Amino acid sequence: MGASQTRTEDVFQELSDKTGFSLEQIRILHRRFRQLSGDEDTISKENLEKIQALDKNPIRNQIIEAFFDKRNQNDGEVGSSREIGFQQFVKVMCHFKPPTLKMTTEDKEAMRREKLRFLFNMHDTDNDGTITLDEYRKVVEELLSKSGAIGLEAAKAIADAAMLEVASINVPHMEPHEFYEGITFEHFEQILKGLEMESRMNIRFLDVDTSTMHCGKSQ
Amino acid sequence: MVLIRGLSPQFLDHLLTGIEDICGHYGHHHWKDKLNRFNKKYIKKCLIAGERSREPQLIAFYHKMEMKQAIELVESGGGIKLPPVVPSTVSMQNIQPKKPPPPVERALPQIPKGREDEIRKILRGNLQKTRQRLRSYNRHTLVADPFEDGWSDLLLKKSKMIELEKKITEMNNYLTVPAAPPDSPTITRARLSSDPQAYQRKQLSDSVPTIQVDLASPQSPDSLSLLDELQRADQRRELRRRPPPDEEEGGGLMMRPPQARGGDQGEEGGPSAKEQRLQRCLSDPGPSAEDDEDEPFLS
Repeated sequence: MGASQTRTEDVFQELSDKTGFSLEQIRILHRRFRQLSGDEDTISKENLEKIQALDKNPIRNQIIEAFFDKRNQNDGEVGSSREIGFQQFVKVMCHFKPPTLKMTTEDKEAMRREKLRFLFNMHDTDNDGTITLDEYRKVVEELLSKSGAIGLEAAKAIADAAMLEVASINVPHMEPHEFYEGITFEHFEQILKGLEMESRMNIRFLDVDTSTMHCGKSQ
Repeated sequence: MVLIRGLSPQFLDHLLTGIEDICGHYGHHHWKDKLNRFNKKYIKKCLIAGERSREPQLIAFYHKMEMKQAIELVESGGGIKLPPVVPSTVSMQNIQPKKPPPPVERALPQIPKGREDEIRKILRGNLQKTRQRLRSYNRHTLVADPFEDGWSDLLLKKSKMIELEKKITEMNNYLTVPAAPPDSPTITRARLSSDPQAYQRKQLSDSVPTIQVDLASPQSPDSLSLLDELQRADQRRELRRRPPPDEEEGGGLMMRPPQARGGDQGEEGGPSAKEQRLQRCLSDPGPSAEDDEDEPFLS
């Protein structure tokens, strides 16, 4: 056991404390990170683009972008990084932790908000705080183009109809010359309220409490 | 709300599958996605006959959603407490960006026009139905439910006749300031502001009056022809004034434009007052002042 290994373990411990992942999970994630980076300290978008399984995913680009989106690092910065290190990788993965039984309602609220924020960022690509019609159209196009063989016109129609619905609910009385800028985060939250995002937007193996894991029937 | 919420499970599924793939974790979503794709590619083609095997995901989704809504409706017995709906003036022009968006370079797979139309039709119907449903449950705003045939039309026409009779005695130059016949913007707006196609113009297409009310008094034939005149005059006026929808799609998506309302109130004296009287008349089936005063054709 060399000095560098201990240092790594320290780093892992620190990360574990900070993120709430168990040491085991951090190690697993680290192994994967090294795999993706070609054993480098950082990964770039190209590294993620190489993942074959992602090819069939209609929103592949948005997902990859999310890892490099500084907003998801929650440190106040904006913009897009060219490369990210392991810490940033883990931070993005944090958004997919399931809630624990021990969490209070406030904690769950906070978690839900963070997850919704992540989703919102995926839609608001120019980071102006609103999801404009163009941005939403783009998402819908991506979502439907590969999976349903829906034409451009139809995808646009669906995006338009959705936008119209949101606009009419949030700002029912608009003069003809007025312009609805787009869906703000508050509107977004409102729309997706009741869907219990904190329970749905999860990757199960990132369950924080490893004491509940055991061999045999997985959940 | 409905649409965005409807799209989000799809979005979420792909997102979570993607994250699993990035982690290299063969989790639920990974397998579910694989299974779905397999299902779509092979099994559906074999097991589901005909057109539906090639049904794009979204249409299937809409069918499912409509089914679900229909079931909910039946289960709740129509007694769902729905949030009060504020009539909205939002239309396509409010959400269109001012500058034209840059042309899309990518070519997405095109689908036959018929399929696109079907999608558009479903969307439009869904949007309108939602709005119609939301409105029709509040009995205090319900003027006439277009799905009840005959009875409400009759009631409507009867009360219209009463109004007209009153107006005749009041005003001199009646023909130039017509009252609002059943299909005018005022009344149509009172019923449902969401579906411009709800009322076909077939009733007014020929000159024969369509009112079937049993008229007792001799003066009624005059009012009848007067009504007929008014209907035609108003129809002409309406057709001139109604702004043409930009495109077929736009017309479907657009909510009732506010121009008609503004125009109406400018020209006529108190159509809103009439509207209110009309509403009261229909939603409150008890004896009303109008019924007592003007008697001629109420048997």
